[in-house]
Amino acid sequence: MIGIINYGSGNLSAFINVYKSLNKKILIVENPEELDQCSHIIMPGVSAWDTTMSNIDRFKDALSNYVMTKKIPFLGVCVGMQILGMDSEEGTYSGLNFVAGNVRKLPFRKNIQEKEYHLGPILPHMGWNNIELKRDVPLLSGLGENPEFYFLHSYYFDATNQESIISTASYNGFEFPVIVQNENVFGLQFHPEKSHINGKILLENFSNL
Amino acid sequence: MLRSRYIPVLLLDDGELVKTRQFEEGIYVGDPINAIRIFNEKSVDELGLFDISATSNVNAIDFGLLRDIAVNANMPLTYGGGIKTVKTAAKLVSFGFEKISISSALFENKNLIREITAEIGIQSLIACLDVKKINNEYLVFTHRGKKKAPLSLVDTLKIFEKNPVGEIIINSIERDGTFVGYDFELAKLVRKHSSVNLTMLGGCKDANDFVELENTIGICGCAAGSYFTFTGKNNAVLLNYNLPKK
Repeated sequence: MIGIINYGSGNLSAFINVYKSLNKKILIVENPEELDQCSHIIMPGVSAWDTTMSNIDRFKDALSNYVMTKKIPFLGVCVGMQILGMDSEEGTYSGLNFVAGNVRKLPFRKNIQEKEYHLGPILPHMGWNNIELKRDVPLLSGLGENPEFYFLHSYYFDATNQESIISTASYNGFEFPVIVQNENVFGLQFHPEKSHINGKILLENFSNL
Repeated sequence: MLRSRYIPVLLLDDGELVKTRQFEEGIYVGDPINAIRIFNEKSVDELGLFDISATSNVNAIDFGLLRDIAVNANMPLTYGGGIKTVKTAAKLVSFGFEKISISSALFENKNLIREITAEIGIQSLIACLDVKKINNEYLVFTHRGKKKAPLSLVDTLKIFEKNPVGEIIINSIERDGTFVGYDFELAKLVRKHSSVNLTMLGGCKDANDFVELENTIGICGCAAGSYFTFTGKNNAVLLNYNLPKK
């Protein structure tokens, strides 16, 4: 059963819709004990860093047990990916530290004067962008060379270890990790649950890990 | 490469979908849940949903309907209309709206932007400005175009340089529902005075209009109501997602 953690982050329904259409069993995880029934765990996220860290506080011990000790496949999405790191420039709380890295603000485009009407930074990175695969992994099987996904974020996961970076994207000429992995732990900066067919393929791949 | 977003915009009025012309009384165009399902099938880039009856009525946000809509939506979703508090904004995000949009409340509570973005993140807050050109000057209006905002357009845009939001939607009141084309002059003006993600709404004529908008202001949001709602020379209600040919 695929557990989707409900800590008030929203967009659970989009995950539910995708997995229902794939005939996969899902469990909305309201309490840490329920993680025991899960073969896979998804941590969604649409929020600010501190809000998220404070809302997931009650799940921290259980996550450490099931994800880091028992090695249940885990997928963190958007801010749910970012909290896998140690800390963030967006907030003051400490992260989960499941994947080595720090969350930083995307660089402004202050010095990029391509066209006169672009005065300065355009953040967040919002919309549909292609990703570049750095490694061939089962999570991305069937997605082709440069699949497109939906992004909505101003901060990115600055991975400490190059080998944890599975895929990157570029924005304003700046390349940053968008899929990271540490063994059974995966983080996605984009929203697969809102990325139509590509997102569906990726979420199906995750459920088959 | 990031690309422009093509965004159908639906208007809610007392629980029904309507389409207005120049902000005047809308005509009925269908059921919201049905429309969401149709746009799901078309894999739209994003969908904007604005309740035009919410701001003027007290407690008029229809949370039940919005929850139903969010549950049925498989695309990135924006909601605007009647949002005045952090609590409401956070509640809608928890329903599954990626972005929420404020308009009149911008001028009523100076701290609201910071309060909301601290809770849900800058990326999820949109400022929507209804703009009308009067005597060659662009003015901002609220309350369905009836109330003039206390700040000029350029001064309003300055707010977002100090208190960032994720996106600005500029909605042309006089072009709404007219198919005369986007106001490119307005788009250029806003782009010049703002460093925020920009989405234009109001007047979209055809798919070439999207291309022209992008050529004018760069990667942006191309939003349209009537263009994605009506089809054919008799303007029959037929939701579509006709994009520029690649």
